[in-house]
Amino acid sequence: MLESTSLVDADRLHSHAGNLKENGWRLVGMTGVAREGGVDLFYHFDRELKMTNLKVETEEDETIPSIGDQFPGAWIHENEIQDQFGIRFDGLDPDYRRLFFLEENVEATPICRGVSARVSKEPGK
Amino acid sequence: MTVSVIPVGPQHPVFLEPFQLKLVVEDEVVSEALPRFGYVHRGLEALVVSKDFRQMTRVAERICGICSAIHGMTYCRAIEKLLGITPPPRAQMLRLVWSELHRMHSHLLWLGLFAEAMGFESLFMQIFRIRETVMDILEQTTGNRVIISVNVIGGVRRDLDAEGADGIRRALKKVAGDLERIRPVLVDDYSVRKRTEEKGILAKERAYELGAVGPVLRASGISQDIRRTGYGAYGELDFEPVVESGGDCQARCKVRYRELFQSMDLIRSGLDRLSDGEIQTKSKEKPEGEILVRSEQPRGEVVYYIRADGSKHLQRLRIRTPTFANMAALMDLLPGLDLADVPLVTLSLDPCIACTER
Repeated sequence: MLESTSLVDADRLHSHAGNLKENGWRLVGMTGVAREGGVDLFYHFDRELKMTNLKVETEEDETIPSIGDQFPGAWIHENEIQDQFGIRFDGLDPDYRRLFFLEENVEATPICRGVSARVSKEPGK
Repeated sequence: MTVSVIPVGPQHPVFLEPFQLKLVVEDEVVSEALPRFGYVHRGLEALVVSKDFRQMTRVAERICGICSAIHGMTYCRAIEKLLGITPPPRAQMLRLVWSELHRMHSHLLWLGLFAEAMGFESLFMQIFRIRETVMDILEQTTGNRVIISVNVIGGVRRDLDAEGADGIRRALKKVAGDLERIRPVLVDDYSVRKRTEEKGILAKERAYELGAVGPVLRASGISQDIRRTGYGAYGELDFEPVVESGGDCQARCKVRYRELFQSMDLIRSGLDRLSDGEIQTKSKEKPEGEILVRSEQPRGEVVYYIRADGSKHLQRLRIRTPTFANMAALMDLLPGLDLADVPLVTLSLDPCIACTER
């Protein structure tokens, strides 16, 4: 287990991230790690060179709330994870719809093998 | 009012790597910007399934063609922590010396390109002449100019003798003199100031909120440098982050220029404190566990996440590179700029697209 990591439910993610934001934490990045039946999502934060992490264990077909309204730099991390693992982020703006790094003809999620893409590349779907 | 959409890139004289900015322009003023990536995406993180954890050191070094040594060092530090080994003090100090030489050549490359983007060809040539001295040191001490491959898990692959250390000291003396000579041009020249002052201002609070890192963050007045966490041999040396308060292109230029002198101080102190002894701690174990390791690259904080299960292949390697973090800041800076300032302001963040896409 990663040091200083709190396991949170997806529906409580917003309030946890909001607390960190209020206390002056900076979003360092996000990491997705494939596991059986879903993906582990890590949110890394820093304050005065100390790190803390939030972990969300996502299930297949689960939609995760975007934290872009709290951390305006989150869109780039969320779009990359959407590309790699096909996870859908609710409220993601700008939403590249899995065309951030990938080409239009790529259907599989490249790192999370076996998990079908859950985000359609066609607008409005 | 005329509204047009201008695609800048993927091939553009100022962006040396393929990357596109779609700019919505209203009468020569940018109102919206959207980046397009994917032109140099190589899927290096996914190579962990086919390369073992020792071979991945060489892959990590090839993520970036500029700050290669620091990528290699950060990867090795992460694996060493998982294996529970510590490189010998001499190896740690040599890593510091080569890392700072890399920072110097990266900053000099950026300064040169920045001068060229302003149309200042002679300054570009002068800066690249200075950079060549640093490249010569790298070649003489490691056998290569950029992909120096000195880092291995447990230490370094090459040693430095007293003659090599003296050669570095002599070369740095020359570089310091040359840099002092270009200072009035970079800082005081009327044309340079006209192009850089109050262009692309990133306010302190906004820079922090957007998650900006490295010289971009420090030029906005925030004193943050991952080297201050004291990783490797940095804990033995005393230094303060270089901070400017302007938040504009000029401030970002000054931070990088001053960091060149800071790197030279660190290299000299490192060479003076170089202890005798081994340069590598060997281990036959395989890594197991989860780890997050950070280093300060020329462009800012790089984060390596590794999950390993005790086999020779890692389960997951994730690298959050500094330009990736700075992209949000860039997209925030562009709206409101004159079209003519877009290339220079974009370049002032020192974007490395190979790093961003991996």
